[in-house]
Amino acid sequence: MRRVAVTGMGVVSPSGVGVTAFFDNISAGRSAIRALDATQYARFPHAIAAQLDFDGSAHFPPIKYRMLDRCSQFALVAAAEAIQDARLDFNAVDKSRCGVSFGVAIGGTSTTDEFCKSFYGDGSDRVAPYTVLMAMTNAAASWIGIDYGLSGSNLTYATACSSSSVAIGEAWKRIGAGEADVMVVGGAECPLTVTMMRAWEALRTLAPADAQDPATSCKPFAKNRGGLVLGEGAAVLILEEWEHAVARGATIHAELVGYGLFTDCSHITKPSVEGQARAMQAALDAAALPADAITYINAHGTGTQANDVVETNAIKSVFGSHAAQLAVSSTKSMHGHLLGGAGSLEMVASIMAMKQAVLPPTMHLIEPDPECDLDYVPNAARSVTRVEAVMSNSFAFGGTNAVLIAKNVT
Amino acid sequence: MSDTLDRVKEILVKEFSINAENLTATTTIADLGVDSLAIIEMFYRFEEVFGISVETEPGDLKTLADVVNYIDTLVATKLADQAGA
Repeated sequence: MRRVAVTGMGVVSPSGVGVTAFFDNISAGRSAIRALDATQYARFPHAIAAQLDFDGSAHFPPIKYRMLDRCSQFALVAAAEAIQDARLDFNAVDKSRCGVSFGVAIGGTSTTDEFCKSFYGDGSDRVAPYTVLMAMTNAAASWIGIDYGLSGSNLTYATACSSSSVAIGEAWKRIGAGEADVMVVGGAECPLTVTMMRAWEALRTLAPADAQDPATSCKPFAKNRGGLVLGEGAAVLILEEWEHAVARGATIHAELVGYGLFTDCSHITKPSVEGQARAMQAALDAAALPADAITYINAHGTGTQANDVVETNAIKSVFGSHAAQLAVSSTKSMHGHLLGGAGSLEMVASIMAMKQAVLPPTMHLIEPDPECDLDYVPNAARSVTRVEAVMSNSFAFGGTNAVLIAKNVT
Repeated sequence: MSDTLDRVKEILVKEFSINAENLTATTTIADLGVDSLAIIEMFYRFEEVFGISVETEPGDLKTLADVVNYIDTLVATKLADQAGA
């Protein structure tokens, strides 16, 4: 297997646009979760989410902007930052050896929503010509490939909440196997239409708004946790074959060393300790690392009753006595759950934690659930001397559990 | 005619990133330098802005003057229908 370097990162998130702003905000424990506009969400009282202030029209010429769903807008802006961060000139490399690997769980919901509202709600027979092109799940990845002329593989994975971790892991394998030299990887989602929010609420997975402060509504691992809070955004990383990166003098943020995949074949929503544990173990095995090499885990940590206990037990079963030494945090407590974008955003958080030796906190963890008894870095970031290796967990409805491991290269 | 042309030109410039210079009544649709997909979207916008329903294939209209005449005819028909009703 060829080694894989992470040479670029880009973020468009509720916690900040740009990697620096994002990591500064989550390290400061600032929650991006808020009460949504009461007019727009009139049929969903007390709706909360991690919503972005983002004007796509500022980023694209009008003719292109017209063709981009908000989901693709996020993806393209994050990709531009990642490619610039990698100082990668695609014209200087063989673009047929470069590809895109993306995770999107739902895709262009604002486009679909607008179309259905007009068709059913207003009874209009006029349909916007770009509807299909904007709503399709692979739109974001396709636009990245088109914009940079990347003619290698262009694949979009839809495995719900683990989509972008799968996308990163599959690209890692592709580079490792010699099928590609550079992969633009990541994920995006914009699920904050009122219809999509109601659908998630109907599943009884959304946290109610905290009565005192909506920003504190997502409380992973806490006794009074009430569910997840949806977020929107995108994160993109540049994966590059090690020697390729070294040869062009690239700055290497981290080495991606492991990817583990294990599917629960038990229930469409209910997670299993065994499934999560086997995905973590598979990632450790792929990385050829002992469990005690891991310093920090960015947990899936959704804040639902089911996930947080199962994930805690899965970590204990894999890490044994080292579980007590591990720092585990859920940054979803601040940036919300980006579904298809979650894995990539949390991978960026994990790599930044390693680079800066600062572990971002799990916020709003006032009273821990007795069944959740790990070190969750509660309520404040922690500076450490060194982070050796990080693990990022992504689990999903449908049961596709994906785990990534990155190693410190300094 | 000129008012419609101005509004058409404004849409082309603001929403389709077409250079305002050299955009006249005799400019052909082919000269706009946009693909067939963008032309479909363009006529969709004309329908929206002028409150009309385009029945013809955009390809049958060659110049901006043809487009403007076509729009004006549809608008006039619509107004006449409303007045008659």
